[in-house]
Amino acid sequence: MTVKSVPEKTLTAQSVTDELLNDSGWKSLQHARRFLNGPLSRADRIVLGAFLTGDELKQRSDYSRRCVRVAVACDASLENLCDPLALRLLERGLFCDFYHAPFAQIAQEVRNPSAGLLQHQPDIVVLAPLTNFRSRRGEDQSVEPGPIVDEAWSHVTALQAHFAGLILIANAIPVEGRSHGILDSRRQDGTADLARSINLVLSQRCRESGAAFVLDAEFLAAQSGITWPTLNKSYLMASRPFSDELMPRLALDIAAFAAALKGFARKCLALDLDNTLWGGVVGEEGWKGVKLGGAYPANLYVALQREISKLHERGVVLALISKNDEADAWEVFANRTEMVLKRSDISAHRINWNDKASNLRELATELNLGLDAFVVMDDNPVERAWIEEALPEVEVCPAADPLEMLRWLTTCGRFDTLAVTNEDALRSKSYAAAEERKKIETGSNNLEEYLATLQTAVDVGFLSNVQIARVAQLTQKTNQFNLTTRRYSESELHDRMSDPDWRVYWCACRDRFADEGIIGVAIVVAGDNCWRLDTLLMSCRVLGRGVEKAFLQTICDDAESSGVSQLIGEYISSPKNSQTERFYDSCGFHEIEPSTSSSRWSLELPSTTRIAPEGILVTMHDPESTALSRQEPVVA
Amino acid sequence: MTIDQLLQPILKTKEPLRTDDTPQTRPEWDSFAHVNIIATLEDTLGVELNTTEVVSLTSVADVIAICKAHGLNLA
Repeated sequence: MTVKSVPEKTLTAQSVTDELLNDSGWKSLQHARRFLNGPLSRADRIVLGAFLTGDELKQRSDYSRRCVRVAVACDASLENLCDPLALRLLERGLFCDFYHAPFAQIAQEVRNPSAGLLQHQPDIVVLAPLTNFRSRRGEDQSVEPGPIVDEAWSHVTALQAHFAGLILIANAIPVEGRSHGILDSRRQDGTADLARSINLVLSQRCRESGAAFVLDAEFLAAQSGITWPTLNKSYLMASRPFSDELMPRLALDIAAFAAALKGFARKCLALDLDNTLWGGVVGEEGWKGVKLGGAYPANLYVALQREISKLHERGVVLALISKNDEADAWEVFANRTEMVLKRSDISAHRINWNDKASNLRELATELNLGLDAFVVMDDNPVERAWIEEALPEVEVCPAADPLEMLRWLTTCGRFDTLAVTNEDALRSKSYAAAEERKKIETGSNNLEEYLATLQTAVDVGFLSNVQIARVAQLTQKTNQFNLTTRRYSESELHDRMSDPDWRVYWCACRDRFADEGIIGVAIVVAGDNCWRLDTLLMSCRVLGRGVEKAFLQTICDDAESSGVSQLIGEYISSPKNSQTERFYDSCGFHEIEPSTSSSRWSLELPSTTRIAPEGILVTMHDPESTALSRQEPVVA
Repeated sequence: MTIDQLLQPILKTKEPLRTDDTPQTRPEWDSFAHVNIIATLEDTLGVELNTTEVVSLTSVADVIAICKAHGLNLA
């Protein structure tokens, strides 16, 4: 079928704000994103920024779900971060509640729970204590980075006493230029080298302590090739060390942290083939004729594939969506040695002549992902407009040119997560195993038989430092099988880990086809006589195999053997988790507080009801056990 | 372009501007807005304003004069 061209509506700042007020879904957000991709005047940015951080928007019924509370403290002023951040968050489907601490008041604000910063109840705190690092050198004008970082770091540790959310710390850029010109690196006290050594020490602190993430101003300033970041009027007139050119790039990174934290990171990249993965049209030129190789412009497609491959290694699921004869497409994968991407990297595909929106819907079902987990890259503007219009929750890369696509993918931050874990690398294998499993399922008569054939084994254990990155990631990313959708940072989990009133369980699963690693989390508030399930979630990859019930069974058993007489399950409705609305019902719990938006369920213990299906081998690990050390994060 | 079209979005107001308006007559013209006015003028005129121009900019009349000096006649 041919896709009709969608008439482009003319968007203005006014039409975008009106629509954001009158719609409570992705449609208005998608139009806003399209407007942001166009040429924006400063007036447009000011009008939108004021609207996005104003009170009017709070009427939207999904405001609280999409709102990110950001508090900022700087040794000078980051006021000019507010509007760019609101716009970058909007691109990610998020809204911004922004607080800026009074000028140069970091020390006071992070240490005082009644000060504005902590009263704002932020999800994310951005600290910028190093914009004026030269003045922080001691009396002897020492060039040791250690003491300068110590002072900056003291704000992080002080803040941690009151705050368990995400802390970002901006690193140093040589704001006043090089102190000795071209001889800067020959001198011991050169400013540029001092900034670099400060930043290396700072990165190491962040990496080793896990207490904060670096907001890499140095990298972004260098990459953006902007003129002197600080020798600009806004620094000298208004003490804003980060220029208006740098801010949108810093804001993009903060928005990526926010999206990862709030479960808004994208998970799947759906790719067109002709003039996207390679140059030319395979149906016309054949596999020998398409452009792929070492020379321009064929090397653009190779470079783009390399970037996609990097994302794949970080756990991004790859899919193909192309209008082609399928056999032609696979010939390129099979025969062109320049192809960086292999057929085995592709988790699902729709290579046919059907409409791409329907194909995307099918891919979402097949991969068990929401449409809002998808990013589409396609060189054809008609297809892009059609997908955007039909499926506003899908994000469509606005580029058509391969170089523009490469730039977008390299800098977009759409797939960034707060940690990369072993599970991310296992994911694509997991989808391949799902295909195999499906073949068996059709041959089995009932669930028990099917599960027994799979030889499913479930491991359950208590949270330790080994699993903390993955467990936090699961609370941040899981939307569908998530009974309460409570998001936790690593430091919040760390507090609960050592608190006797809380029990944090992880659940791992493997079968004869794949090792899924840690795929489930339960967090229990453990009273003397009654335990409450604050969180229960399971990655959608393993659903339908009885693992979620085996996990709940293990927790019931643990409660029973701890002498508890009642286990309470909670359900809080979200736009994504309706499939779990009756989960506790199906496990033999009875409803004690019925309501459509949230409900509570109870199971009296000891219980004779068996929740877990037969045929699953469950192993409960001791708290001290170091079992599953294979789950150690690759990158913390 | 009119002076209202230029300045109203920055000052977040719908009130028409008068030539003799200054930061003193318009409370919304605070230091934050002032930096934005200069940045917007630089965007619109495609030039970087020099220090003399920035320092002399204290009223709506000055905004109009700077635009005119750079070839933009505000209606």
